[in-house]
Amino acid sequence: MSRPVALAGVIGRDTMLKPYRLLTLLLLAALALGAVPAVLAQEGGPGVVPPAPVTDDQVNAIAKQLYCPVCENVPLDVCGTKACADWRDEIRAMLEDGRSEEEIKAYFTDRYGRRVLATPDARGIDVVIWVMPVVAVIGGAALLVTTLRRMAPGTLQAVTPPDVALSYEGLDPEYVARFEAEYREFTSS
Amino acid sequence: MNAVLGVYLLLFALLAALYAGIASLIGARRGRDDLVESARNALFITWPLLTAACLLLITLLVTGQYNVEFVWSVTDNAMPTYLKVTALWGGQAGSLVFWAWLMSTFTATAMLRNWQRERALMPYVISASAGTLAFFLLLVTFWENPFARFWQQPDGQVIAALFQPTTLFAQIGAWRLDVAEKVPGMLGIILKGAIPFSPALGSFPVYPQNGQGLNPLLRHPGMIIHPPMLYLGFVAFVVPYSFAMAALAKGEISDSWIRATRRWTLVAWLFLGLGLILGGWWAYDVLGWGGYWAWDPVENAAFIPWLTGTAFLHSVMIQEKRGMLKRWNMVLIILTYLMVILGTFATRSGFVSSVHSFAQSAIGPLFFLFLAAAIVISVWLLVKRWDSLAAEHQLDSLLSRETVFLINNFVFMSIAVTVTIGTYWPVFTELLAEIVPGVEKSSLGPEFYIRTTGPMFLALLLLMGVAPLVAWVRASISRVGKAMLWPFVGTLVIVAVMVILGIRRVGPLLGFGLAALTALITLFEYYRGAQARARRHNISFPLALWTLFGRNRRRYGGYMIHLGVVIMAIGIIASSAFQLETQRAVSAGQTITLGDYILEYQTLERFVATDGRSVMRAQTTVYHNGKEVAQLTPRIDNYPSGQPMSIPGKYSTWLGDDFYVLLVTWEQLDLSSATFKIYYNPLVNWIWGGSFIFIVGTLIAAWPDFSEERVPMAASARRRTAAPAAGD
Repeated sequence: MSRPVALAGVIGRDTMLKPYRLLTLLLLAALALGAVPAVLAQEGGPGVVPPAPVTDDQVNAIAKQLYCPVCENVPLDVCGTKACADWRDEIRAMLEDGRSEEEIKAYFTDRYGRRVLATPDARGIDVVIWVMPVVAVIGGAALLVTTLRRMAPGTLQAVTPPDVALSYEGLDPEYVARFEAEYREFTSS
Repeated sequence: MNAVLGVYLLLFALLAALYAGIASLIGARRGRDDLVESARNALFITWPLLTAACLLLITLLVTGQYNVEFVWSVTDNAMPTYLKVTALWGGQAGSLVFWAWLMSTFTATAMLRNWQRERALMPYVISASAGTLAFFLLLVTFWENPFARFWQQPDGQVIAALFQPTTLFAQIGAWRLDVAEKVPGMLGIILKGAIPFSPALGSFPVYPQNGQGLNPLLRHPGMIIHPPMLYLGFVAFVVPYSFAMAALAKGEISDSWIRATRRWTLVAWLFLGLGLILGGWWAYDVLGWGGYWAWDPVENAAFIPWLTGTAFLHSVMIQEKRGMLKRWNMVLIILTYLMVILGTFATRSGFVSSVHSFAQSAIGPLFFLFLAAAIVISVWLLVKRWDSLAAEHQLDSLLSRETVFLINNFVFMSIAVTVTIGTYWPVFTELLAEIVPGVEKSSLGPEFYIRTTGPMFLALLLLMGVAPLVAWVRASISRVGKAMLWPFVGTLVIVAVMVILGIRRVGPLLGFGLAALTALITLFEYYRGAQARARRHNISFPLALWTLFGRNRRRYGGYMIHLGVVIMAIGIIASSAFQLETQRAVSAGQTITLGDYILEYQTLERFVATDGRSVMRAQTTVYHNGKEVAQLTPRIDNYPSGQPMSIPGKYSTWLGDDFYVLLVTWEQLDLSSATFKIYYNPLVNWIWGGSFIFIVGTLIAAWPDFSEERVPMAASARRRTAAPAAGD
């Protein structure tokens, strides 16, 4: 497979220097390209199933879960730097070797530390980050209930009888007016 | 020298702000009105001074005075004039000056509008806002001064300094560095980080022929308006905070501070939201990764105050209507202010991405000290007045608007806490890693936020629909049920249709269902309101709908905001749950298939644009069901300075879906093949459409009612009391 690539290099350089050689080289290239299927056909003979080529999508599926240590907060699958492109090539090479997603992630974690993982699993100190939101929600809920209890003494213990004739005593007149208007609007529809 | 004038302008503005802060405090303590008025005038003076400073800086930028370090760092000869003007906020120093100018504008306006009405609060309002302004001016005068110029010293070194070399300044400089060496810790860093007053004796100015130019990523309309919007949002929150602090300091805990700042809060909230949306639009258009929100710490830092601010906007209504939650509202506005300062501090100092950047410039330690001072003062005042902030009323029923708003606050705070922890988690673990052996720095990508805050956002969607139906004081289940009946039936039909159409995943179905329910309830509310009004006044339905907004702008504007958010939510759920993505290398004439769409690659061309960037552009055609629908030209721009930029090609369908193509790479030598990454983002344009409705709704809710505001407080209250009887 390295022949067409090398040849492409030759074409590129020579066409820039001596355009009149283009035709000859194109002919050569056509010959070489024509030869490739033949070679492949020989290698992958009947009975031998060639491994499916690794697609970009497979590489990206893994790269998406990784951050390189240099580019802050840019997932590896979209990072445009040379270093990240190299990492993606490494992932591709490992996939071609038949390594699994877990193995590849472990490889990068071992070499560069846990920070390469976009989503840390609940291990070590990172347990905290997964527990914290739950604690926050439970704590908030507890605070909410105690607040409601304090603000509405009685309502949580016993059901107060429906008090239709509301007492306006001691209420802000502005509030009463607003309430009445809203109530009227609500009931009128 | 032009630039020196700028240094003086900033210096005088700083002195004026400091004087305003101190004089207003003394005036308030001793009851001396003359001092308070003089403090107010001093605060007013900062506005023309800072306006002049900004105009001067813009002049320097436009005329290409590369002798000035800031001008050199953000502009170059090739940039068009409008970009040179907006480069004012293209770098740290200019941003901070612009920020200070906005703050001065806002505080001056707030004072002009409220001077008579809230006279009692004014002295402390001046102290709080002048204190904040003074801090920013201190920063831009001595540490991040955009008017510093380049000098070549006798030893050949080029440095930036504020003034011409004089013996006195040179001595002060030497003394400063001497002390900085001896003082350890933060103080040393702060001293060392200051801009020198002057270069060494015998230095001469340096005039570079060209500047570095603005970061290419920032040359986008979204990025040009995004920072000012965000700053406006941040700065406007200083106004309600200052009034809250004044109410605490004065011990006059009526609700007047809330009435005076209601619109400021809405305006702050609008601009902050607008800034966040514009940032998302920019990311989607320029950053080339198919998304609009990455849960990046820098984004989160601006999102957190928006969350606490939204909680505040809602809970403040409980205080206005029922005199409850006074303490909680204080806590929320203080928290929002602190989050604004923390967000600015974390992003400006680079602290958010690494603790090490904290100590690299003086900005970090300075912000840290200011933040600490703000926390101490706020908490001290709050504790001092805690008892006088007791609720005036009790909760009459657990099924009431008050309760629903409390639940709303609980959910918003849960999201805010989660996002805050997540945002500072990488920095926290990095710090911990240095102290505790065995601990490593962690990263935290979008997955964490989606999993943790996803359910909370769904809860908000539900609340947004139900809350408006629940009456104040005491609601009845039967009434709420009656109002929900038809919308609920409609929602069931919509969900059933979606299931039939092939959407089977529970999460998105739940999300769409809640969005549909909320939208239908809200629309039904408009309908019922307009219907009742049409009947009562005997007018046509469209006219009734139109006048409905005028009658209760806050309510119906608020509903419109909810509708906008629902539409955005639909776009967000669809584009994140059903996004398709693929990447492949193809040669000319070959195609890539994604969903119902086919992308055909034709050619690749390389050229140099007039502004000096070299462009690699691909010509592609998009087919849908065998029919050509668009010609797209994704490209990569390479500016002489800076990183390459990937500009996507986009095709939007009538439904608001985007077919989004990126040119990833190509065969280097003969351009024979190119690699494309394609995203299919369903309903993504609903986000931008929804945000437009959101903005209109906020403007309706916040629009000042001039006739009402001019009437003195007492009369206005009377008038409002009488209004329902007269109007309805």
